[in-house]
Amino acid sequence: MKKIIILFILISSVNAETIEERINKLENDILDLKLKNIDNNKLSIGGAFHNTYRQNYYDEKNALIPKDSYSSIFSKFLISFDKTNRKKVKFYSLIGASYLWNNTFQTPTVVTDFLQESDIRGSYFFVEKAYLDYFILEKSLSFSLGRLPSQYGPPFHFSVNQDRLGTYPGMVYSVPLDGIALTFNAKNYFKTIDRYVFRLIFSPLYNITSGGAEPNTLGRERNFQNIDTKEGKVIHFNFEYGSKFNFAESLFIAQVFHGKFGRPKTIDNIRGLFNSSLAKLGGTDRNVYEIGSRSEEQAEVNAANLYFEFNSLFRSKLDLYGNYRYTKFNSTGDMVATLVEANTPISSLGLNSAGDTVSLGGFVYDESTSGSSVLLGSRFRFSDSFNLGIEYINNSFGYFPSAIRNIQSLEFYNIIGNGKHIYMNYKLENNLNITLGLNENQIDARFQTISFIKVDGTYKNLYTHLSLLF
Amino acid sequence: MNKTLILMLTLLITPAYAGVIEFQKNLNHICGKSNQLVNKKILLKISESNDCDESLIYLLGYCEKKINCNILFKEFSNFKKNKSSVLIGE
Repeated sequence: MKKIIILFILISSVNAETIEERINKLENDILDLKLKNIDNNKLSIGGAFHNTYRQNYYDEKNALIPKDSYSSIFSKFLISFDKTNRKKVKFYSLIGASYLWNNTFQTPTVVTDFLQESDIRGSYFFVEKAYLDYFILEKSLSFSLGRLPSQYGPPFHFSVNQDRLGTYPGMVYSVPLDGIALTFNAKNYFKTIDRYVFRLIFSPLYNITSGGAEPNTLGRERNFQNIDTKEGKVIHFNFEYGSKFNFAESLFIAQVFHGKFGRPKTIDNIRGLFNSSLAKLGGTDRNVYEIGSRSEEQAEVNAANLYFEFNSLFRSKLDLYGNYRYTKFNSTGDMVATLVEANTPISSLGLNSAGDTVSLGGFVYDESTSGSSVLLGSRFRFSDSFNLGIEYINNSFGYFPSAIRNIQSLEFYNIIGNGKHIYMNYKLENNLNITLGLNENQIDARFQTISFIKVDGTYKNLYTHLSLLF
Repeated sequence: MNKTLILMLTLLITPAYAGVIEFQKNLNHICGKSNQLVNKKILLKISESNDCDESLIYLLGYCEKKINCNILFKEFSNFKKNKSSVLIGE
């Protein structure tokens, strides 16, 4: 009898375990299904919301308004949709809007320069990035196509307290560029400890809009009607090496590029083109112009760039980074201004009546030239949530700046002259960071309409930047 | 335009982080790997919400190791950053 009872208890417990196991297995299967469903059917959504308040001061000898100060507030709203759960093909996208606060209701009175204007695009969403990676060899050889992550590259992430934000060093190019790329990751292929990556990137620059437009209300003189724009191209070769040395965690990027710029679109309705020249004589240019070119090619640029960063130098909390870039610029065409509406005859330039033209010289620079850029920066991390950094830049006249966009929309990286930038980051929450920054630039040249003109000025700004990542 | 709007709304109304399964290895390291049911429930929660709500904290109580919910999200946030498109072709 005793034996029968023991046997019954044993059988019952085995059955009970089996049921529990079955329930667990069933629950496990349901959870697996739910997780797989998320992975298969959802996109990964992320984003950022950046807000900058900036107080700007400028002082420029011989300028129309030699001294002024103004404040500006602007936001950048970025949202990403990625599909990365396939081994062979991955897709990434980022759309964003960048806008001055409330300029829908009131035309901003701030003086925005060429570079800032191109960085703050407006309230409409713009495709910042949309590309696919197709892996020919798993994790080691890939083909990429689309609008590539070609902006906000290192070291621009240091001053906003984020991880690396782009592939190219920021000083090489920081604009959204469409193109195709071939990437070979030697670290993954040869299973090396250090990181070796080679990339070849090609971006065709297409201009398919006809240069001429219908006569408009501002004037009937058209100099560039029926002149087509011409395409250009940019080719990059990029090599990255990353290693954990005894003295620091390091990253080196070498990149060379060749760029060719064809005839651009004409620019209509330009007013006050010669204001700065007339200001010296006490006059104001009230004319309206059309700017264009008859030269098929405008410029050719060759550049070499070296970037380095040492993080946690000598196992301290100090990071050191820098960038050197050399550019050789060949001017291969001229830009011309046609007087469309003559309100202020400028006889010294031969501009007396509608239809008169004057050469403006070359695009970006009047003549073939070369120049260099040196950027040095350092950041000290007092804690996980607080750090302080400083940057110094020197860009010589003749240098071709193309670091157009950065998160805080600072002119600092694109100036011709030298500048200092001090920043302080504090993390209010894991994903909420506030930056205070001071930036002072001594300007030797300023971009005006189509090219750099020599000036003598000082630009300063004090800014605060609040960024939320989600 | 309407289709785009509907698509956007659908995505935003039911947000979830695709690719969460890959975080399982990290979670095994953080939470311990003896109770996979708990780990999968945690994965589901963090893929759908960024909040340290009561149900997530309750689940974390079943981990082998003591975990701070904010640290879990910090790890997850770093993981997502590494998966996002910063480097062409990688």
